[in-house]
Amino acid sequence: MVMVMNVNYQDRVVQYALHARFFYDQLLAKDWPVLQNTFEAMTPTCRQAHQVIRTEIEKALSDKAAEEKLRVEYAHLFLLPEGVKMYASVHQSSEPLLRQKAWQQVTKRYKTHGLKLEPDEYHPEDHASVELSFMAHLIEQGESYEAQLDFLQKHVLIWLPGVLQKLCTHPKAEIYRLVSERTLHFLKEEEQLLMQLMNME
Amino acid sequence: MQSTKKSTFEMDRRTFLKTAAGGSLAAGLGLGIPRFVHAEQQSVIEPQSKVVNTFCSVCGGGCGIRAHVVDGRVVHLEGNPDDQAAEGRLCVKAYSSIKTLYDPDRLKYPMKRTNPQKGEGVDPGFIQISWEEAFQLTAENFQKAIDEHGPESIIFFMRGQDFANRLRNAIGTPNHVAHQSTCFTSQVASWFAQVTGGGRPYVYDLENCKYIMGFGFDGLGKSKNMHIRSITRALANNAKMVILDPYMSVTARKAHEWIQIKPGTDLAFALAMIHVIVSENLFDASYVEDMTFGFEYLADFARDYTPEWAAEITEVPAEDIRRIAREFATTKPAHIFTHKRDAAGPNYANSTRLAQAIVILNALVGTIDREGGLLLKRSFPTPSFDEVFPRPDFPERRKERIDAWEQREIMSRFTNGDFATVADGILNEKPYPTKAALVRKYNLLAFPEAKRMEEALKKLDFIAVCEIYPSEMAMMADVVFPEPYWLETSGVSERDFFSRYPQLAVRTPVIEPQYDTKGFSAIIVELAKAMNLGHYFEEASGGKWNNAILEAAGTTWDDMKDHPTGLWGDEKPFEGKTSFNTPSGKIELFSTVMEENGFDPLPHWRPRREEPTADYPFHYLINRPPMHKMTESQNNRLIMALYGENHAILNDRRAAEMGIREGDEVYVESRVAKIKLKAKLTAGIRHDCVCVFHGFGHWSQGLSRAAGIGANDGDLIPSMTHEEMKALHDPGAGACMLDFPVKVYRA
Ligand code: SF4
Repeated sequence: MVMVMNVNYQDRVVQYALHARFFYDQLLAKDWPVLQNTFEAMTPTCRQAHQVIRTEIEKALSDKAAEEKLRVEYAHLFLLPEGVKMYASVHQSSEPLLRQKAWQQVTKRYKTHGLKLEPDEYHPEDHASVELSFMAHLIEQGESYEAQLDFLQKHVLIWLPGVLQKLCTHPKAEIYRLVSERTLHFLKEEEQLLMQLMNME
Repeated sequence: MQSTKKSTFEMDRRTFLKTAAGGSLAAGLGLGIPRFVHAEQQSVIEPQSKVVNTFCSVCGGGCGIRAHVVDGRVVHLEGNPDDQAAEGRLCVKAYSSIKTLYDPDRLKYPMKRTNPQKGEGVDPGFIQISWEEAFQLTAENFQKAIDEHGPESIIFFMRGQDFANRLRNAIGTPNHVAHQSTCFTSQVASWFAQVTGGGRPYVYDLENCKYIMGFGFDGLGKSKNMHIRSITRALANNAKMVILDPYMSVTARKAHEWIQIKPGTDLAFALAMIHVIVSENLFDASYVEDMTFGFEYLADFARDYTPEWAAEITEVPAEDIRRIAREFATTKPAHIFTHKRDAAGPNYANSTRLAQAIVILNALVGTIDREGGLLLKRSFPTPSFDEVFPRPDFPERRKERIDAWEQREIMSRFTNGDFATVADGILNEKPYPTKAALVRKYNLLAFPEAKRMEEALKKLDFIAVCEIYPSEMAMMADVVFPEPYWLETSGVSERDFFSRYPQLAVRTPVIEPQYDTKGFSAIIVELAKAMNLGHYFEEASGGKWNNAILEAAGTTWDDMKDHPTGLWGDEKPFEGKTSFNTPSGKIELFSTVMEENGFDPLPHWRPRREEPTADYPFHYLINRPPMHKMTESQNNRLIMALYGENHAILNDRRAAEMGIREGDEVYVESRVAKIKLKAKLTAGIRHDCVCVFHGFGHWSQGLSRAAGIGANDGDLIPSMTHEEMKALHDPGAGACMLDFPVKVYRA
């Protein structure tokens, strides 16, 4: 059972955005200032919860060899087949393929909110980074807790925790093991928080 | 309820927005995460469907396709009913290509290697890089090789492609190595010399044939759309089919007669047929008179090649040979079909002679470029790449090549190169050191003696690979350039395997590329720019070249891109050619071109290179599963569900004598390597043969479905030294893909 922390609006958005970034693209030394600002944008409690990954990422991005090691880890885990597939469709279809039903469903979901993914975006709509970004968007747009929880449960929690679990034990995962553990924890917190908020109403 | 929740939230949000400087926090953080834009809000969303015209590129057939796309997803591919090649159907390879399109194992970004070690089991330590870095790195390494060892130190491994050919010439390297000597150069040499003065045709009018014959021809097993359609129609139309093959292929299974000929002896059978047809005056006198040259030499030439003589060699009774020759000559139209890796493909040292003999036999019965036979392709005029995209002069370049291809008297005029001899050239620096390679869509497993080729590639300092999958070749790469899948691209096709009349098919992208990929022509142009050779490609692009092809045919890209059928060219009645591009203007039964090039103008008997021995008592055969495409399809789940593993296929009785049961693991060993496979037993193979299907034995962990399944048939094929190839004195410069014996024993 995860203890629901006193997560405020800003922390929620920042965490969704940060965790979307982790899975969106490899991390490079030039990204560190932005990452650092992102950690700084968190409340102290939330920042503290991210301290371990912050330290590890900072170390990796401040040294050329460590940066390359992190990039190799990223490629193994997210670009090459021996890693994990960060697409809902691959995990929710009878065949592990892109753009199957789960992709259609989440794409439609965006449309019901009057949105679509920016056309020159490389990742498809059901990529983890896109779904996490959308959660940030829902919060920022002031969508109801019900709508937030609905999206979280129907489109994110239905597949992503399983993939994150795999990452936690993947032999090639080091820094991304810590990242996935943190993402996993955050998603669990989020579900409980939203359920509690709904129950309060 | 809802309003309470909303207002609580809005308070939060207002507080928060102060810290986000009045904008979206997620965007304001500058993390560069995915962004959403406005779309028309739809509460009930109707499916958006469309049909896009394209053509298949799994093989060179180019069958026209109507791709059905629903909500941005390709849901079905349908043969274009207006297309002469597809006739509304596709083969299993095309239908299953949607699985490849959506395979998450595809290459997604340019990558570079961080681990300098290379080879099987070595982690390349790839990292994602930008396209700019990929081009720069490749250009720097190519330039280093040029500066230190000359432009010839760079090898291009790929099929011929106009943009790549120009870059190779602009660099000034003669080394363009392609796979054809492992596939069909024997047939090209005979057709070049005897009929076309160019390449060989692939347009089979099987449908109108009444007597289909094949020396290892597996038109059904290759499962090409047009072959299956026309063979089944011919059979329904009461055509007789006779297949000579040591293995009961799919086509042999459907044949009226399956003759288990001894491997590598088909030439003797063909020579005896010539003997019977000429000595019994069964030939088509008017066709021979009007269309051929050199008939007067045949009687003498074939005198001693009696069916009795051939029976000794082929192990086929003389009366069967005689009967089949008579049937072939008297059933009209009759034709011996030959397609790539059959007995007349470059499998044996005598394969080119068999190809010559087949041309003679088909000419004797009058079915070269006649209905019911093999037709020369009808095509629109093709534009000249140099006229469309004028260029500066190319630099001088050395003539000698790393595969000694320039020594092939006939084949050197085709820039194919030789998979069989290139490892010798690289490893032994014959005739000079090579240092870098640009590879496109060739897998390491496709080379004869793949393990030796792996050693050769390890000797190179730098390899750039253009691919869609993390194949074994990609695992050897220093830089990987990811290409889009054909369903994501544009193009124009002449459809090589079925063009009874000129017709072009146009491809427009069915969906947008899913990953950060670039088309091959664009890769070449960008690489040229990075190498300061951009002036060779001014104004050049794949799109302009597509338009130029269409303009030469009387239309334009703009007119065709939204054309209702995606096809250009009206049906025309077939008219057989009355002259051919040879010195005599006729089909040369006696080939003056062969003679001028120092080869036998007539295909006298020549045995295969290596017979079985006491130590290696088995003939080695290779076939392909109908649903697979070489080494490219083993990560496709649908195809693997249909055919998921290769085996050592053995005669059941012979296996019982050897104590081998179905499923037992056995070694198949040649003089260069051994592979381990499970035994599959059948009565449908000669007692002295073992057959292995091609395409398996992948070791790249990047192929999550294919890795570790079966074994690579090509590991066993001995590669050749430059000298061995020269000594063969084969006009087709064949790689002798089956011309060696093997042994089989329990593992
Ligand atoms: S024959 Fe070739 S081009 Fe035609 S559908 Fe099959 S694979 Fe595609």
